[in-house]
Amino acid sequence: MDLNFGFMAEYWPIFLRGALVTLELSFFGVALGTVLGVLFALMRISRFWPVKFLASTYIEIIRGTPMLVQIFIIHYGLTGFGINLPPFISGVVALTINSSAYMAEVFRAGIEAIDRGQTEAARSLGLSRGMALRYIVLPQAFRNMLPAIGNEFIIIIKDSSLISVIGIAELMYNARTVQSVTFSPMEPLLIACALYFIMTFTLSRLLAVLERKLRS
Amino acid sequence: MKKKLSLLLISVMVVLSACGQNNKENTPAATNNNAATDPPAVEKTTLTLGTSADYAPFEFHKMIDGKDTIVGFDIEIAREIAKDMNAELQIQDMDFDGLLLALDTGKVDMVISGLTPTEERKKNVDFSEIYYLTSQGVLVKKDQAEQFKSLDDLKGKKIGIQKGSIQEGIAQEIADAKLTALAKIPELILELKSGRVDAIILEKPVADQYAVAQTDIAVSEVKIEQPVEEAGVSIAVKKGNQDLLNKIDGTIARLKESGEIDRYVVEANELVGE
Repeated sequence: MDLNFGFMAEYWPIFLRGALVTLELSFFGVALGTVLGVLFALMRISRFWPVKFLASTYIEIIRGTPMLVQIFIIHYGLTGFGINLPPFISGVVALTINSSAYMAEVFRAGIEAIDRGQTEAARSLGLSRGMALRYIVLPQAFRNMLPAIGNEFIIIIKDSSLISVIGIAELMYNARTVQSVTFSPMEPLLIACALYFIMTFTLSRLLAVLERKLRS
Repeated sequence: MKKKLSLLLISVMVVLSACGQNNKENTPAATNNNAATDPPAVEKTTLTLGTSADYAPFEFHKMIDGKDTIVGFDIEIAREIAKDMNAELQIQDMDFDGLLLALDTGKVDMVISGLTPTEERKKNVDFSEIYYLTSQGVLVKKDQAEQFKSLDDLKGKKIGIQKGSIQEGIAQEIADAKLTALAKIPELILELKSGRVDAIILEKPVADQYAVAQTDIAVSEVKIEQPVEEAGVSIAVKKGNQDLLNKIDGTIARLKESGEIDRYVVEANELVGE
């Protein structure tokens, strides 16, 4: 196997742009997924059973089906209902839905890990249930959950490569583009691999720093 | 907290819609219809082309002036069709096996991707007149090229083809062959180089390009005879879209007449080699 990376002189912008789109997709997926995740987590711990049931069903279905299938259904399947999303939006929606289900579980675990005594103390000080959750429980839970949220971000960066199937010019898609332009199948994959690793590794270092800061 | 959440949500949405505007670099900017000043001219419409751009010289990516552009002779034909319709051409690049799905669900108006109008496909989409005749090439490892002289030599061998392609049908006819069907050509090339398949069947012009670029593979002497109706490639539209089909056929007739298509093929082949 003799590798030749000569094409990089001409094609590095394509890889860079792809990496940028990957980060864009992942960022929106995680940001929106976090918001939705909080919502579903709160629904799951609600005392009103239909709400609880709805959230549980959603989470189970999303976590129990492959992301690739979800991407296809969102991009192609929804047109049957008159919803015709452009590829980038389809990609973000798929990542959002996927990460929101996992995030919801992270949040729920985080909220349930806070000692019941905290809520009880807040309630006996006269705070309502909602206020106790908002001012006492959630801030503490959030701090414990940061590592898990960061992990989800890393997972989403890797999973976003699946979105290349619907034709968004992210890193994986662009790597395949370079494959077919240069007629060299192996090297572009190695470059993509390295770029993915740089992204995820940088992120996990940043998270480690953040965690140390929060702990001190 | 609630306020913050909704603020975050809204701001993300705003940025998202802004990003959504410029995510496809190979689509031309939207047209401005100055309805106020225009006389009742022909309405500018968009024509969306679906293609799988990993198939030089039919359609492939190329860096032109530092910009990633989709080119090829299929694309040139698409441009002519759009020109004749006075429409704005938008190109959507995707996996080959997603093309017909995209056509069916209205994501794209037409598919030009070296498509052969098979009976099977005719059930689901409508095809234009044939605009080009292809021939098949069989790629093998250079050091094994001696073993592949005729179609019979492929019997019982491991053969790679593109999923959903006409070559898949050809390979299925070969006795005892073990098939590997993958979405993208470069993946097939990797399979061949690593010895997981013995041969790949693909369009001759595409095979030729790979044999030039990769020193350890070669186009074998195997000739695959095909009846004319199986060797042609044409343009697919959604079933029943007769109106668009007529316009496409009109453009094809014009390009054939003037010999433009042959010129596009030559130009595209030169572009690949650059």
